[in-house]
Amino acid sequence: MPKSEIPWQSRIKVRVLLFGVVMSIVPVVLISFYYFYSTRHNLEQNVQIQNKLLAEHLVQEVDSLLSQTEDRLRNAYFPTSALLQETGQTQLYRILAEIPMAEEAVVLDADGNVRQGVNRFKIVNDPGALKWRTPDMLEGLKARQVYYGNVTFTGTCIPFVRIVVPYYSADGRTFLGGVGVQVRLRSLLALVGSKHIGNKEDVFLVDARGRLIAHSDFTKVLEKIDVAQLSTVRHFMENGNPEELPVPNRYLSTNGQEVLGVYSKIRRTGWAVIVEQPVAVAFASIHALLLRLVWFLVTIASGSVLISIFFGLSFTKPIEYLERMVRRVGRRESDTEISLGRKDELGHLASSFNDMVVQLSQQSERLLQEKERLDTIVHGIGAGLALIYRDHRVAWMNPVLDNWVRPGLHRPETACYQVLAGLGAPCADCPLLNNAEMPSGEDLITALTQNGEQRLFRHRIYRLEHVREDDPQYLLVVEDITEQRRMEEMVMQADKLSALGLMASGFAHEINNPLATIQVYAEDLEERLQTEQEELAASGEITRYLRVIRENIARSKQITQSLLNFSRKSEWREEWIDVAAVLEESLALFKHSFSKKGVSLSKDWPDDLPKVMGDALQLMQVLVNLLNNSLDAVSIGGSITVHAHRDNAQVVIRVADNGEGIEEKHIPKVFDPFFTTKEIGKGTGLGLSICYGIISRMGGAICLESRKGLGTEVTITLPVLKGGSV
Amino acid sequence: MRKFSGLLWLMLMLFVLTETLAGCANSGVAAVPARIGVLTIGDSRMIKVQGLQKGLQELGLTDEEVAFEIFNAKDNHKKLAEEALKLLEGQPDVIVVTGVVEAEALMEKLAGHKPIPVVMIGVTSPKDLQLINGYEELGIPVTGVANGHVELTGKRMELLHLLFPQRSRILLLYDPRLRASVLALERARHSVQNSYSIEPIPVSNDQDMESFHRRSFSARESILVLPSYFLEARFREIRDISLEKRIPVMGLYESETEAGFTASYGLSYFDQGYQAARLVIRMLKGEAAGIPFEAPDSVRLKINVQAADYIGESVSPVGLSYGEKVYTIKE
Repeated sequence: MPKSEIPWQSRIKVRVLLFGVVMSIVPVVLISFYYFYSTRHNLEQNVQIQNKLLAEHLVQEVDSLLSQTEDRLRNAYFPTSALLQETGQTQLYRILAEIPMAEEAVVLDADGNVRQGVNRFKIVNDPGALKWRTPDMLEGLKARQVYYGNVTFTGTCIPFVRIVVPYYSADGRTFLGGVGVQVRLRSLLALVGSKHIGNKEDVFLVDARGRLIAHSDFTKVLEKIDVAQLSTVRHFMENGNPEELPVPNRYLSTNGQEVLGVYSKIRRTGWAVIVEQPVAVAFASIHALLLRLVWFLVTIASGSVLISIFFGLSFTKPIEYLERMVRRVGRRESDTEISLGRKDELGHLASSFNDMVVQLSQQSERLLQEKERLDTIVHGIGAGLALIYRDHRVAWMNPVLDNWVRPGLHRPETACYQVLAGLGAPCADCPLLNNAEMPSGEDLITALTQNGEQRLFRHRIYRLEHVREDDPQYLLVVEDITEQRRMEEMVMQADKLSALGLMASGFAHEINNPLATIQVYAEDLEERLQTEQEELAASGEITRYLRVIRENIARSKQITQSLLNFSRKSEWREEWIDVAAVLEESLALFKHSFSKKGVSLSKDWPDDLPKVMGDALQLMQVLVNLLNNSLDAVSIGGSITVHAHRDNAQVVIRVADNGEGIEEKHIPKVFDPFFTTKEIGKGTGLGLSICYGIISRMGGAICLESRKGLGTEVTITLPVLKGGSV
Repeated sequence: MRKFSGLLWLMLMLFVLTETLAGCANSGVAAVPARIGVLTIGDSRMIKVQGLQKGLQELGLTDEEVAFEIFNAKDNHKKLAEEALKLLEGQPDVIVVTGVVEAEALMEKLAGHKPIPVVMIGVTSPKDLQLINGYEELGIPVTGVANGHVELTGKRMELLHLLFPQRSRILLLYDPRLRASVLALERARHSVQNSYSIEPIPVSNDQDMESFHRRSFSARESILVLPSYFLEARFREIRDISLEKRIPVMGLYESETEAGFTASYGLSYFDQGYQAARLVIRMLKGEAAGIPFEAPDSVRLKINVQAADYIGESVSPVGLSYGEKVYTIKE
């Protein structure tokens, strides 16, 4: 597949890149975000705890300041005498000096009326006009309780509160009134929290009614910001227990910012210190961490991408180079040599590739030589070769076969039976029909007529191993056996003539006897017809004479017919053979020879001997040859036995004699052509060889057993094909 | 191979670019500093600017985040208008004026200029002087810290009398050109008590000052300086008159006490500027609408014991109980 056809997602460099990025980023992202969220969660809690500590600290500071204010008021001395009014004024101004947030200081009489007072900003001409007395204040003062008034706002929205401590006589028994200050709350947080309140959080005070009475940004107080609806203030007013605030306590503050809020109560006044820290500020560090994390991830990702690209390219470039070289090798460019200049695995691969290219080159050269040699063999073998598919189609044939087959049939995809036999269907005995997987090496004979001359071809089919599914699976080897068959027929004919020569005197005697009988009867009849013609006619003697003559003529005819049959030169003709008839006809040729030599013949076969497929004349030639051999082997008075029977799917024929036998050393050669143990002139040496060829052609077998001095037995087995039963 | 090298270089350049961008995102690109234009009549009020800078610093604004552009008229009233014009042409983010005279000079030059939020430091009765209305009518967001001078006039007279009870006549130095000074005089007249009397003395130029210097003073008299940039600028001459004529003088700022005034009562220049820092930040944040003016948070009585000794006066116990003592006379 060319490089451009590889989908981008399947390319190694992309995969290496993805692998590098994923493996470098994913763990970092997972760990970082786990750490980030864990830190964020902890930070939320820590911020709330810190803010809570700040609120509690400020509460302590405020409480301490108020406590000091109370102490300062308790420690003031105010003489009751009007003459010492200046002393009282001095005390009040000292109180103002020592309590910076105090705006006004007063001395109250036992009725709660202002007896004397000074103000930081105004002239107090008429102390009695200052309205400090409230019913609950007097009751509290008399009960020795410090009085904290309600938070009140001036016309310019500046909140203040009045604090009054009871003032008793020196012996502590007489209630004289009280000493009080009017405190501006504006500077309260500045006084207590200047060292603790940063610019990152908002700190403010609310009274018990949730009103804003002090703020680290005092402008908020002047602006009368309503804080009562804030989550933390509501919790303070409704619940009052800051320990039960949710963690984190996040909500939108009055300025629209999301904040984390806490509060702590000032028990002395019933107020609360609220600390709100904007989430953005509280999480500034975590956001900075996130930013650094993102930066880190970008750095890692960039580095990973760079490294992955570098390694991806360093991996794939050599591979692509190798691919180009492989293509060059595929194009058989001879100067293909890879040089990566590397010492790693790819370098070894390149070296191995170069070795492989050299080996491939050598093997290709050897293959070319082998192919040339095979081409020479295939073209010069003299046999036809063809590769065929299982469905009989011819894939290839060599020129020899190409010359043999019919013109016009040599084209691809033509079936073998069309090419070789001109048939429209496979041969009936085609092994591919019977067992395509294991075709037999059995010879198949096909006759083709070329230019008016019939030629015989023997072909065999061999199954090819290690072929692909769509490749030809069989090798067809075709031999032209026309000449071979002619030679065989000539030899067989010669063998017949030889046998006939050997049997000629016997045949003559066989024919002479009926002829002599005919002569005697004819002469006697002639004589008697001359003398007693009428008596012969009346007694029927003439008829008897004629019958004898006719019978002897018939006998002679039978003998000559058998002789003619045997001596006839015929082509192989397949037919159903009545084995018993062939046996009888063969033995008839030897009747005189047996009697002349005094050989006793023993015949034994059943009446229902099955028929076999083959050529009867050829089988007769086999039997004649065997009987000839036995006749030659037995001495005068010997015996010959002809036996036949059915043995399962075959017919067994035995011809045995008690002649001189064959030496054991000659037995392996008896079926060889031109081998004979007979005297010169008595045998051609072709008899048993022809027998072997005929029986083999009929699909049977022939074997010989012999013992020197005891006799010989030849056994023929012929297959009984379906339909061969009698 | 050349192609491969080129690709690698390209990747490296991309990496460097990515890292640079990431680094910038991480460190944060320095923001443009907020520009604060300051208009002041003279050096004496620069202490307010110092207080403002200190306040801004403590509220988290660094020197890199704010840039001050000072327009100082060097006590020249005519030049003040020119400086106001220059300031407006510079179009700062926020304008800070250090007193009433600067606020009035700026207001006269606002027409035709882009509206810029204004913060006033230590102005006297901005509402009474129509400063707030005047700016708001021009569509200028305005806020600031009032110095409370008019409101404190009566209290100053009371304290001056408490400090030196035998001084039953208070000479009120005021600048008739200035409405703030006139308002303070009106308040003084309204607040005067039976135990002492007052005598307004207009001082608006060098001749007036010289005339005042040549005046003969009695042992019953004391001097109270009413708000006036001219008188603030001539505090050394007034001090010298006090020391020369042996007559106690009460000023408005502790810096005057430290310079040799017998006493002062009010919010210091520095504290005024410090208190205004938060308002400036809110203006910079764009929260300009409806920010109320703030009154002085705390006022302090300063008594220069050395100056009192110099003029042969002893401070009353009542005064000493309230005041903070100063023992130096600075030039």
